[in-house]
Amino acid sequence: MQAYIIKRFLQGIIVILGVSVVVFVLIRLTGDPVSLMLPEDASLQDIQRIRKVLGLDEPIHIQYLKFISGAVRGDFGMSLHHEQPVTKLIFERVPATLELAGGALLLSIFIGLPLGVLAALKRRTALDGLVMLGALVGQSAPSFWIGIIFILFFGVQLRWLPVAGRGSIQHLILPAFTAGFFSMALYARLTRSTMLDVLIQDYIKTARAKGLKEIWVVTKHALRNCLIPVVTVIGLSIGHLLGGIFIIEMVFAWPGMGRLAVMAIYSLDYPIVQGVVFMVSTLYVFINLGVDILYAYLNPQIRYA
Amino acid sequence: MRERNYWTHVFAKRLSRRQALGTAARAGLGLAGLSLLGCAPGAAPGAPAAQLPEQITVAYIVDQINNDAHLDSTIMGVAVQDHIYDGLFKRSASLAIVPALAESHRWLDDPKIWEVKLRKGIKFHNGEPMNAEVVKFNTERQQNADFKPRYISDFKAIKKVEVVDEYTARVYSEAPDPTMPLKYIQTGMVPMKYNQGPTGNKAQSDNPIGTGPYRYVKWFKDDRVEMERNDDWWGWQKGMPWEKAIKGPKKLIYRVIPQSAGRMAALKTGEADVIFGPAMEEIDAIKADPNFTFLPNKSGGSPHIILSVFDKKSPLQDKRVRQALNYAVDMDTIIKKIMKGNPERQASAVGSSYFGFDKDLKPYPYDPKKAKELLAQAGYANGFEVVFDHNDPVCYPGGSEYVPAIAGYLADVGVKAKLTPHAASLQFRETSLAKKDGPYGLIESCRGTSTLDIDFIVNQNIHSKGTRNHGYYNNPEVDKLIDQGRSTVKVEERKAIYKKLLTLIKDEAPWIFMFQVTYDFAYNKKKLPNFNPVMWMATFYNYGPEGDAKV
Repeated sequence: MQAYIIKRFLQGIIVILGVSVVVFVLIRLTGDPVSLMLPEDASLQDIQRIRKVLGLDEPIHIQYLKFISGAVRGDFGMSLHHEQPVTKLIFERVPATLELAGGALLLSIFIGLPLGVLAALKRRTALDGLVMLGALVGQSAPSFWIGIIFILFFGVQLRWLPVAGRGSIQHLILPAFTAGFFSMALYARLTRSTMLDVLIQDYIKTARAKGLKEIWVVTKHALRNCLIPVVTVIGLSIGHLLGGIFIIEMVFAWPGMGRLAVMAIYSLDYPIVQGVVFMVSTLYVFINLGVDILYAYLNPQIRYA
Repeated sequence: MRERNYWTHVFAKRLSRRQALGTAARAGLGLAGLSLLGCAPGAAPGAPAAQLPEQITVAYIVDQINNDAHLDSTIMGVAVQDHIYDGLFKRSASLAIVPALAESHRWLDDPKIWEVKLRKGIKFHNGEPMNAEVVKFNTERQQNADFKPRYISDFKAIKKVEVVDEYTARVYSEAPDPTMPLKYIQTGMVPMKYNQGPTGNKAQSDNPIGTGPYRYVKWFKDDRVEMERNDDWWGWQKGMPWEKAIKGPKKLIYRVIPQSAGRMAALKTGEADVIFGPAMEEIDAIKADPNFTFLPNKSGGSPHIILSVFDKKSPLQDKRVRQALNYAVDMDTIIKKIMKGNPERQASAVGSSYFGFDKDLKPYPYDPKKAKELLAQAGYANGFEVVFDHNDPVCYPGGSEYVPAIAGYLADVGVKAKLTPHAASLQFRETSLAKKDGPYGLIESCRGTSTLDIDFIVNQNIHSKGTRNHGYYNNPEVDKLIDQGRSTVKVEERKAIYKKLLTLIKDEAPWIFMFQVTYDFAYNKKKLPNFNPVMWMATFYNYGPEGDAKV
């Protein structure tokens, strides 16, 4: 078990390093940030001075080493546009992102799971069809499109919910629902199919035979057994959720770190993009690592494979 | 003087244009808007509302980056600051320069000394007095390299500020500088003692204090800035420039909504009363909607096509060829069809927003026949091939359409322009710094300053020593006029010089002249019938039919 964890941990580190190299190189191909920072009447001396200040005059591998040695200490340098430490800018926006991600996760679990159960119980009925159709839409329609449709329908047409910004719980509902829509669909489908497998098991028949009320049959015997794969998938889909939130934050004007990163891409603000991608990929890798370890713990076959 | 972060405006507009399914969204918005927003109760249609609502919300595209007026030159930042701070001068909605904290100004007999007299008795929000010491302090703050002020390059040529008496300051510059007042429009005055306290200059970033019509309340980053009205603002008092203005709303909120579909939705639902930068595709729907007004406000920005003479063998060396290219393009149709009729045609180096503009100068007419004649005279009867370097992503909305349209018109007269896209940042590096990779032919360029003085355009872009002269245009006669214009402080003299200069530039045709773009707003006309924005700034201290300051 220990060896397995160490192996997976080292693999995780390699993934993070790989991601950081790719981002580091890609963003440097997109243009020269100094040209955006300085007025165009800046002299050549000014430009060279700024390059030196930013460390952009050094060879790219030195720049990378500097970045990575800072990153492991939580120092991502100064934002070119905001002229503030990147770490500060990111952490100012982390609560908003966590609020949205948490809301999305809760909504997707507490709506997706019951719908899946319901669809399994009412198999081959109109309700089942409706839930599965919804799940199909949720899994295939892009979230930014869903978001715009929600804004138009619930915000502009019905006037139920605000269309942009953060503040009250009402502000959270639309973006959280949009961000969680994909996972919700995933959980509903998965719960339904696992539930269908479980419902034909002998122990369910036994439970029913001994006269247990249907509600207890479903919640105590069936649901509990079908939760194992569902919980694993929930763990794995958190990463996907985080990735999707970048777009959702743009659509709903949500002041989180995804938006910080997207805006930074447009202003060629290297340090922010690097910082956010580094942090999110680290988070992603560690969530997956946690799920893997949990899984290995639950299922001994994995760790010896 | 520093370009007012055009890119912030520009990339944000790009975001709005890039959103997916914008068309579907707009169709839905249009329908929803018609049915759902009724008349304000009691207000007869079209009658001006006597009083503003308690709270007004404005939606911009990109957030400000700092509360300190000296550290932020973003579109939204400057608009917010225009409410919290006052400069020695402010712009009116009709783009006049209005004495604000200054009462009057003049150049002494030695035009290198500029004297400004301040209004008496004005206090900062924290009670500190606004006096000549403050002017000195603010000027030196703008020159402090360690502090990294955004407009530092504008203040390089100022040698010192002398405090003559409590309300008189003299600014000494290295050369006569007719644009001195402009520097002090964009220097919102910050209080001196407040910024000499324990946290030093940081105090202003944490909790900004100005003399302005609004007080800062709170900034929720990337979401909104909240301000409350300063009822005691000097500008609304009797005899002051904004005396006739209706006081703005008690609570003024500047929000950030990056996507244009989101801003439109917020306007429709009333979450925002004014939105900045609606997408081009939305303009027709806004115009058709009885609840909203679309306002293309004058800006100082304009695209043009540089006709580079860097390559000594280029056909563009010949003036007749450059003129021919101006005759060849039907710019009026481009404005009407692609730009929705909003921009104003420009005959020469600057448009009507600028000091120095010559209204008598008529633009090149569309005349392909004449273009062909001129090309034939120059020896290019069969046309020629040339590289057309343009911005991608676009620098102004509409760019992805007007650039190919221009290339199409040029093809009609036999000039094959090979479109080569460049990121704005890359173009800067390659054309301005390294004179390699030539020969460049046509270069799309986007220029603008918030200063609205012709000197900033011609001295940088057309003067042979200009730092942004990417086309390497070189004409001693033009240089002489530019130098003359910037070395005298006499307004009438300058006007006469620039009249000559603009006529000469038009004839010389170093560019294909295009148009002056607009800062676009859409706003709720029932709530705000007398909205008076100043350029890109949704201002509320000058509200009302007579709210705009007169000079």
